[in-house]
Amino acid sequence: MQLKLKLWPLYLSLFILLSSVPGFSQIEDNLKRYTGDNAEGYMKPIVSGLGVNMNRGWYQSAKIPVVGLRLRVGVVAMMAPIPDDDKTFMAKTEGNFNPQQTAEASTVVGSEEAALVTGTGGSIYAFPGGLNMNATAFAVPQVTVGILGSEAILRYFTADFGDSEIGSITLKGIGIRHSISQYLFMFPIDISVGAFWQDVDVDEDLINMTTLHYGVQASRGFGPLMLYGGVGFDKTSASVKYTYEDNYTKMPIELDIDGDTGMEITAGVGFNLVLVHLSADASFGARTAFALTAAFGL
Amino acid sequence: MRAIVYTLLLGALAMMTIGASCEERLVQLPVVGYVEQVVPVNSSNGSFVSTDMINFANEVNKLQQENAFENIIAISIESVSFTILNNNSAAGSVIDGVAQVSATSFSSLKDLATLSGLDLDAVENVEQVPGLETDGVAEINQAINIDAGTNQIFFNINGIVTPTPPPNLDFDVKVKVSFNIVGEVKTEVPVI
Repeated sequence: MQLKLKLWPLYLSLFILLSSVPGFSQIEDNLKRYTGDNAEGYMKPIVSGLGVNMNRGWYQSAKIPVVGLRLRVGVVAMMAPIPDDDKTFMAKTEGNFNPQQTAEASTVVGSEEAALVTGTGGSIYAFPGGLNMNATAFAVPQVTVGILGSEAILRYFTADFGDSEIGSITLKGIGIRHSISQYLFMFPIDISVGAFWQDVDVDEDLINMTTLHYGVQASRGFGPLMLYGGVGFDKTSASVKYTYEDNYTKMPIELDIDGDTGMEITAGVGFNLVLVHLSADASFGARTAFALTAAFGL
Repeated sequence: MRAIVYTLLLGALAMMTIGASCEERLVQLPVVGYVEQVVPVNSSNGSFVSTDMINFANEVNKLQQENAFENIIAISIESVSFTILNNNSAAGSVIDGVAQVSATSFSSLKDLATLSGLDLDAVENVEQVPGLETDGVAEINQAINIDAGTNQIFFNINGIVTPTPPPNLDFDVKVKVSFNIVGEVKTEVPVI
């Protein structure tokens, strides 16, 4: 048992690997068929999906200790269902295909089937299929340190999977919150404000994603139960780098893709024992996302 | 204490992964290849005809080997282009012609594309992308068919030129035939 416990970081890595990064080398292979607008349309759903995930799970209440210390170590797992609208986009034929046409094709999360377009004389242009995903998910370790009515939340993970499908991943994130209710005498609920930033590099420079979330949180405890919620603003952007290539040409492509940006509302419930803290919440905005958090500490 | 922390976190992870698993996907991925052939054209009268063979074998094999497809769904012609090179014909020479192909022999050629009113001076080094004819496309598709194709086509370009030589009609035409292979590649995808 002791041996297994020592493998915890490996288990965590494996979980993150399985749940968050679906075959990025496959995505890169599919992208090689695309340049410019097509590549952006193909990739945007996974940028938006992962972005909305990554912005979740930063807080489990608005109560931040003014006296004493908060120190928690935990894991946050996030999931966002992929809406049907994200499964396809309008793609344009490229190269010498005649005549140029626009057709509905799979995005990276859409059907595995290639979309075929017929040109003059029965010539065929083919758009790549997707990974046929029903949700994007993400899990990350998280450390929270709070003191004097303020709180810092840290996320960090890095792994190099060598020549596997995944490649390498580095995630780093930081959030800062401050209690507002400490200044409001006898206020019936706790209120805080916060801002949270993350950066993820996947498969060397294939995808670099940055997320930002800021907003106001409120909560109220009922014994071990904690009801909490928040209103905030999400912003996600990604840089995608790859090489478009055929047998005679290699062309570096760099795309800047903006994910869904806008307001979101979160509602959740937590269960707090002395040292164990579990919570679940749902967020509603441009997309719906869910987060589960398990933490240990004060 | 550390064992308690690990146990709790592992328990939480287990709880979170309920319902999460990986599924295999066969993703259809198109890859594009092309072959180019330069065909010389030379004529001392008002008409011209040139023939050549175009071989796809190396390109098709290379694409298959590089991509390690689980299955090949289709291989199809995507486009054909023509580029006039090395034009040494009389100034103002205009050609009207047709490109023909066959999967089997020079005696059973089918029209692939019409090249009409090409002013050789004006289009030299400029890639021309004509509309394609169904019969010609079918011949190439037959030639590059994965199961029964010979991976070579018999190519012919013929037509007339005005004004009539002399001097000789003299140019090269670079024929570029692009095709795509749609194959299935296996990958694992998380499913929740």
